Amino acid sequence: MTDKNVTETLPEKSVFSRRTVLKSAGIGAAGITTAAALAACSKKDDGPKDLDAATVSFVFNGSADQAKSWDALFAGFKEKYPQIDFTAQAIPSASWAEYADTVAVQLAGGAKYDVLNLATEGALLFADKGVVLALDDLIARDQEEMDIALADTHPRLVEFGKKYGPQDGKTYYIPSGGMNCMAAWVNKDVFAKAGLELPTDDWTWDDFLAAGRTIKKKTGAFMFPVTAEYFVGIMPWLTTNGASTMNEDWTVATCDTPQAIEAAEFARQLVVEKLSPAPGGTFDRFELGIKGDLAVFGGGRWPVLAVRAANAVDKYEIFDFPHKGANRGSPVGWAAFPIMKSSPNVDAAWEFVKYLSTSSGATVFATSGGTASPCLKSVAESQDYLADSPVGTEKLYKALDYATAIPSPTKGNLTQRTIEDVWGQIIAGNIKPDAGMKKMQEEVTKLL
Amino acid sequence: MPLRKAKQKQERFTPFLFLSPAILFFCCFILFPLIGAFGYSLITWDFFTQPKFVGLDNYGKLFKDPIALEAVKNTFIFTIASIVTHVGLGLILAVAVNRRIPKFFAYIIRTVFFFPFLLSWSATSIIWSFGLDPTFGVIDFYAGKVGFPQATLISSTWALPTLIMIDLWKTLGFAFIVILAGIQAIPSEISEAARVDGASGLRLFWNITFPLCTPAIFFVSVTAFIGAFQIFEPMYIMTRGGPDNATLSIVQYLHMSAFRNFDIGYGAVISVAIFIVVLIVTLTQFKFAKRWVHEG
Amino acid sequence: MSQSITVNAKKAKRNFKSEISDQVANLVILIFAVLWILPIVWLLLTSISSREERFAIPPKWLPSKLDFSSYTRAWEVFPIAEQYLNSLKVALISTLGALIISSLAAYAFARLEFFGRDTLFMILLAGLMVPPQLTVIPSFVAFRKIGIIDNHAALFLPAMITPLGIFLLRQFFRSIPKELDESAKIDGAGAFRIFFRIILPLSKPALAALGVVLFIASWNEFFWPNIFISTASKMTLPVGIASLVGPGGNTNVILIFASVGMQIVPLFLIFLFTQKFLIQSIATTGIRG
Repeated sequence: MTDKNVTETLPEKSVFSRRTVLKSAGIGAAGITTAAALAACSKKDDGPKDLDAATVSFVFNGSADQAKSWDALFAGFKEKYPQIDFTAQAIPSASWAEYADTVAVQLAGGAKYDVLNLATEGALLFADKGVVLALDDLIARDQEEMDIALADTHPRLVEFGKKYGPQDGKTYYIPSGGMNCMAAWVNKDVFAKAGLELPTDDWTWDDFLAAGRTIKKKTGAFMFPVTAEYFVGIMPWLTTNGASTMNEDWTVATCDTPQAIEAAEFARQLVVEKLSPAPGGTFDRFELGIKGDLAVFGGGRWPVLAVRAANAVDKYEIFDFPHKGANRGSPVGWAAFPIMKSSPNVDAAWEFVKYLSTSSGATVFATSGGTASPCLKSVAESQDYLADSPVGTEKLYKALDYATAIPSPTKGNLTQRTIEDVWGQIIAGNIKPDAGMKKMQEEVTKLL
Repeated sequence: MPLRKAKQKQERFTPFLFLSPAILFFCCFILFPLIGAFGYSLITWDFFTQPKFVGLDNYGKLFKDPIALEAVKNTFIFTIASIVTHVGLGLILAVAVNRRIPKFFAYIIRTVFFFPFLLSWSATSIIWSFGLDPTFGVIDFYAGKVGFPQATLISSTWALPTLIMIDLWKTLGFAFIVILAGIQAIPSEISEAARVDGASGLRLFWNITFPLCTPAIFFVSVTAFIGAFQIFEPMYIMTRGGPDNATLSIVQYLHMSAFRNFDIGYGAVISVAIFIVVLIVTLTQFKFAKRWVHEG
Repeated sequence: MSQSITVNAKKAKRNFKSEISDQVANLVILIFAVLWILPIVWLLLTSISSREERFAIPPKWLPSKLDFSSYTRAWEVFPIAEQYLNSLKVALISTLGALIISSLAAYAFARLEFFGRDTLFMILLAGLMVPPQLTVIPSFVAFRKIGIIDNHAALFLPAMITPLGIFLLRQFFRSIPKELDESAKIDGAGAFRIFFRIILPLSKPALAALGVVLFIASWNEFFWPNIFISTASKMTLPVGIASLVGPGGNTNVILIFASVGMQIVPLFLIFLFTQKFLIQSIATTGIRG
């Protein structure tokens, strides 16, 4: 099923060769016009494209200080399609799971959105409720354009997009709204102060521990914040030891494998040796890091906002997360923009989704400091994305090669709560790692 | 004759006129939703798929649910502790401030203790979550210095007491002020007369002061109960009901069932149960009031 | 003679003892008060400290360098002026509406005789015990039909019916001597005139107190506005603060502290100046059984 790549349906009788199309649909505004031209020439049935007076209502997960990035994105769209009445609602949330819940509540009350911004954590929930539209016909209509985007997307993301949706062979989620993997943001000054060389991408847990001890002794700074956050604090340690909370299909819990228990033990060890601030409270890791009291924090793309605001971009370098097992690991989450089945403006909505999914939109977002890495390879390698960012930012995209999709079953919000709660107790020392992970296994299994 | 009849007729309408806005709003915003909730308690619905009628199944589920039981237990502990501390400390403070102390001092005390009442729970949660951070929090830092437990928010024994304390911090001011006014309303002739008779200190308090401020104490205990039983924000924002459901309150469990588990029917059942409990307890409080509350 | 000396001496001793215990009590209260206000002071100090001195351990109580940039940034980053106005608008309308509706109803319960009066009152009071989490879904569906989602009406309309208000005002009205009503009736006044000319003017403290309590409740409300208002420019303050929290640990702490600071400072100033009046009013209604 994952092989049912959209490229197979590219009409052979297309007038334009792939190369021409690739060239003209490159970065920039040309993308849309070309697509329109292509659509006109395409042998496929066009379907109505009356965009006048159509309205598109978009809901997304965004907080106040991300508003600028999103506004830039919307401005670009409104410029291209002035005839579409576009409105966007930002819903600030502490996590993607909560965001999904809030949107679900609103939808339940009858709120009318055309396009949603939805991440992995929540995708299955909405698919399960049958409220998202199958996009295959629309994709076929704009085959060439979508082809380009798909070719430019990391194959694993394409695979994930297909796999973690309703298994009826149709496409509901195009992973295009940016993605995040976990990497280690290393404060070069702290390492220098402790007399250490910077790590390599291949560093192991042992290297990490040793560095942490030296840093603590020589500078008193903490090494890393051990927290009970699913994506940021739990999954990195599991995946870098070849473990995960669930199996690949997200149907069976795998929390009590020896590797998972090892990960829990390591996290707890970091706390015990005071290489991490004690868990159980709240503190700002970016503040600490920038001040020099914390050597490393984990992150995908989002720390860049805080780092830029503090003019500390040069202080940081990004490395792959340290691993223990044979391979490197990282969780990955991505966002898609599904269209609601109930939308009366499918065509207009589709234009917006395309705008977001193709390079023009992605570039705008990347430059203005979006909190996710782009899904498109060309954008991830472009200066728009890499400028004013720490050295090593390109690794955030490369991590896709070995990343594990963050397990988000239908009841993801509840499994997340349980996982975070139990891990929190493990790292606080209330429960021993192996007993804790076994408990997590029990609780999660109940919910699956 | 007809004039009087007309006036009488008009008079009969008067209560209706006075009451109609209240009744209208009550029906729209309290009664109909409540009936709706009762209705929802008899179905299974997840917002998106078709609702299904299940009769009293949800109620049966509630009685067998260990998490619900835990939530009820936590809520009762919270409530009882809340009432005791609010009334107890409020009384002590009120008596303490009622003595002959410099006016400026009294002003400071009243300000300091009442101010947290004006804060929102989001602000309060932010202050305390950061303050209680085991590494960087001021409050946790000093707590450690005097031997109090640290990292309390993540301890299954100490998390709930911590929330009780934070709630006390936030709402004590209200109880304090109400009881203080109750004491200050005691006509000075009475206390003077008692003093002349030789009563002082504890005796004065027990025989005169306390009985006369019982209406105030009653008011505080009724409102404290209702507020404490419906407590939601601190556990929702600060501990998410953890660790291990140690701080899960019953309203929070309702929220979780309805808005996280998307089981509207079950959430509705919990809300109906809450409603009934609060109703019974408050009515009981009113009934017993006749025995100990002094209607001055 | 010696007897009175002994009595005086005893009195002096007792006075001295009570003097000491008084001062000790005062000291204890003072310490208690300082501890009580500490969290808020810490929040405010942290929000104006420079990066190096914030969150230092051991804590630095007197920042050597002040940094107000978090306030300016918070101001830039989110429409705080608008949100202040929104909170103000919703709170004022809710409070006014609630006072009107409650006083009208309370008068009927306190002064007018009619069939089923006490039962109706009990039913209304039972409404106190209906938690907002219960009514939110049916309300959401209903409001959607009327089209007031993402509209401030969804916030202030439900707030206008407050059983607590009706309860308090009824208690207060009952304490007003009936003789005043009687004399007005003799002069030919009907229920309305009695209400407007006699009862209301005498109830100013109770109305003020209730008004303050309702205003504060509306000002600090989070759960309901969070569900019903989605546009940033329409949000009220508590929701606005929450909007600074982002996904994946992107919490900009100092911005949050600054926004909380912005919420607290005006409240505190208002409180300082109107304290005596406020507290007296709240107390007056509370004690009347």
